Amino acid sequence: MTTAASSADEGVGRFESSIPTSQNAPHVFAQVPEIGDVWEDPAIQYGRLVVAAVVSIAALAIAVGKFYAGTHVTQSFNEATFGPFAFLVSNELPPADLVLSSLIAIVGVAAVAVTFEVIAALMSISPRRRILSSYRSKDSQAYLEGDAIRVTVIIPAHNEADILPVTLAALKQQSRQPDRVIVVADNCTDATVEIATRMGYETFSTIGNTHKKAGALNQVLGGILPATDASDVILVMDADTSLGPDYLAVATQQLQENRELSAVGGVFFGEEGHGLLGQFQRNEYTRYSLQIRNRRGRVFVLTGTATMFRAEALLDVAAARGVFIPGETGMVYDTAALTEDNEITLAMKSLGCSMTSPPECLVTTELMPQWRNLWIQRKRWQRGALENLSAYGLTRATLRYWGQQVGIGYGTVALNLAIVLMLITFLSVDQWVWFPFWAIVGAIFILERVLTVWRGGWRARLLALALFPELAYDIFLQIVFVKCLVDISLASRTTWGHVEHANVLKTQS
Amino acid sequence: MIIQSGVVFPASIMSNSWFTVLAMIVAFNTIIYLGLTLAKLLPWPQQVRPEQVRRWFSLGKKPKVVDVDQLADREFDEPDSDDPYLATRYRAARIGIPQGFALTGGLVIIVTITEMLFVSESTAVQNTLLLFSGLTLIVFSIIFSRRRIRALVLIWSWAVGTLALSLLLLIMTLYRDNGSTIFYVVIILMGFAPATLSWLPSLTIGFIIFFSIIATCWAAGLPNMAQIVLSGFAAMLGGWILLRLRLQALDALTTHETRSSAVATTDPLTAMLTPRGLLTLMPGLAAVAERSRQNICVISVDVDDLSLANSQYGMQYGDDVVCAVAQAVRSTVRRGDHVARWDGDAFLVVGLGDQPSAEALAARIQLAVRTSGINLGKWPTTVSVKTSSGDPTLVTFEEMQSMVS
Repeated sequence: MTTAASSADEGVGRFESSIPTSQNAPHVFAQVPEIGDVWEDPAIQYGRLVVAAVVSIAALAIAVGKFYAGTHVTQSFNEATFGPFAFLVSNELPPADLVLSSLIAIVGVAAVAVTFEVIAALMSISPRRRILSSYRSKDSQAYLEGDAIRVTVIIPAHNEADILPVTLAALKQQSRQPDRVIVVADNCTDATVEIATRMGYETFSTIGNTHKKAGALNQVLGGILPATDASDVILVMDADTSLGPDYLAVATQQLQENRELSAVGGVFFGEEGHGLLGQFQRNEYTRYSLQIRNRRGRVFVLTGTATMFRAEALLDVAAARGVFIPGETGMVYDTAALTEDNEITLAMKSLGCSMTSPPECLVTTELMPQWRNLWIQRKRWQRGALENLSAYGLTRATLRYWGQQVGIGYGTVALNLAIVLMLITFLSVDQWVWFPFWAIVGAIFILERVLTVWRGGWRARLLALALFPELAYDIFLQIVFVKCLVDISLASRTTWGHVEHANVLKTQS
Repeated sequence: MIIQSGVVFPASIMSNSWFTVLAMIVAFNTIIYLGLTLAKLLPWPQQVRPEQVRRWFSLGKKPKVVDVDQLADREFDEPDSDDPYLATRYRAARIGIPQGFALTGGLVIIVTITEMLFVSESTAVQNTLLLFSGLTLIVFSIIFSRRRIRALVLIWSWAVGTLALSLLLLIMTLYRDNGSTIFYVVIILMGFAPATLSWLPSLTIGFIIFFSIIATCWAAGLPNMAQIVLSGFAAMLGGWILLRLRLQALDALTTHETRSSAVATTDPLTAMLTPRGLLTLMPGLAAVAERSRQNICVISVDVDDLSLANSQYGMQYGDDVVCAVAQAVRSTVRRGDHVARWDGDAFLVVGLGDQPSAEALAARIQLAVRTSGINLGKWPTTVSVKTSSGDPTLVTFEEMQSMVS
């Protein structure tokens, strides 16, 4: 066993002292007995706060609705004919005041959103990274202009023998080849190691890892990060992900041009297949990628499927854990987090790292084949996001994410109210009545939904045009959101066992 | 003409007032959603690079050198005052005042929304103003709980914040010309004093609010002026009684805390440290040793044949011997060394520096015990001393302790 591997094994990164001790654990002169403390998971409080925020916004909406209901005058319907068809038309418009206050509300919400973004962007001049970089040895910071960037690809794999050849083949197609590829075999019982070795790639087997992907990455990064310098970048990608041909070229170019860019995330699209459910997910991912493109690469999450990090930024994250951000000092990834990609994004944003997702960095990722899988995946994402946010609390970097959570919450209320209204109307009229104003509004919605998935092909456009199946899919996702929020607010523990996280925070608070 | 009969529900459902409200809410939401969806399609400006932002704020190009120790100190939670009673009050203020701001802000928002829902006479401008001030209070609460601000500043800002809210409500009373709002001020007057945890701001601001209530009554010409002034006075008194009770409770808690922490770390027989007390001091000692590049030495002093002395001369004699040895050890070791009664008959001394000679130390302790006269007429007490020392960055306390036991 090499020194690097053994130190990684015991979970000691480069930030712990290298003094030999009996166990390779961090050296503590005396273990002071701790007095037991009542500790409550912060996620419970924050979950309840989100619920409270959504409820008060809903109450505000009801107050507004009540205010304008008094000014509302019901008009009679007119009969209109169009060729052989006769139908009822109502020229009723919403009260002008209502439209005006909606417009004010739009401006207000947009102003708040922009403010949050600006606050988050100002984190990029936070002194935290300078403090952290002053700890690094000075010679490792030397950076020569035009110095070639070294790319190390890390592929954590847990029994991925089936898909690994496809992934590695896609890596071979890259227009810029990586300088080093490490396949990390994490508790593999199949031929993952043999396949990678036979294809000529370096492998690293985790030792006694119980923390899944985050633990495996910590072990391998603990070994390679100490040997990196300013021109090293590290691409962490899933074994079931295929990179677009220009991913490496574009990402390295961006990192080379912009010295202060810390991470380049991928824009992910869904793989083919899996029928209607697959199409729903593909449409969702297509819209998300369009949104990121519109935002000029301002990502919400550095995707775990494939993200290229500057090695220095990962070192800073490891050094900052337990000081500026939650986690164990010396660990790159927080092993207590359910969704490690979301967590490391929050970590980097809290340190003021700048990041981007250029549209050329395409990634094709695996989709959930069944509703049950999707339910589990989305519950993990949602719960992980809320728990990570709670661990970080309400800070300048997380403000916009909290806003997003409240927005999703209120979106749930709004969409379902609209559906209830349409349902009641539909069930209580004997003849369909056309409201030209609302018909136009609906048409704009459908147009928007179709246009945003335009590049997804004909199947995507047709599904968007049908509107109702996608509404049902949205409601499914909203049920997941509500379920997670209820679980967290009622403090029900999940099988993921999050006792560990609480302990980590307790020691640092 | 259309026959008004629905498919499932009667068509009259659509002219219900709650249905109209629902329709308005949905209309409101839909227009907002439409606007935001279209806004999402707008392309954003390019990401701003950090160096550009730095140039805008004209921050110096040279990174400020940050002292590691200074950083560590910032994390360390210092008490606000040397007086333990004041420190407890300030600690309570530090927790209570941000919560007070958050609760008041939340209450203002809830009351305003409730009023919007059930009282139709309130105007949009007033309500927006109140909602905004509620949100401001919550923002203040977040800032106060995050930043380390001096406790006195917190206390005064709470008092001034309460005054501002009261004045806002009083101005609204004048504007609206009805007496309902003024009672909110009376309730605030009652509630604010116990949260300040300090007499001066509570008295000053309390009187200002009280006289503002009188002035408002007089200016607005409210008919039940005497009643309002009387309830304002009662509220002020009530607030001060609550403040007094809270301070008494906190002071009692401080007394108890000081005593119990002393009890937990002091051995009742010899008034030395308990093992727990000694261990809590170890990280600090290790840090001092590491900085001054010294070793840490551990000395164990065992009273020989204590159980024999107990059985021959009685438990009382055994206790006296332990006390005498404790006294002897304390007078023998250097000042600044930590002495603990580790076990029934064993003492542990921990200090900076290399290990002293065990035999010389044992002889000095035995001499001190003998000169105390405790052994008169009985066989003399002997002690066995073992010493060890080591670099605290290389060995652990447990290892050193096992070497001497």
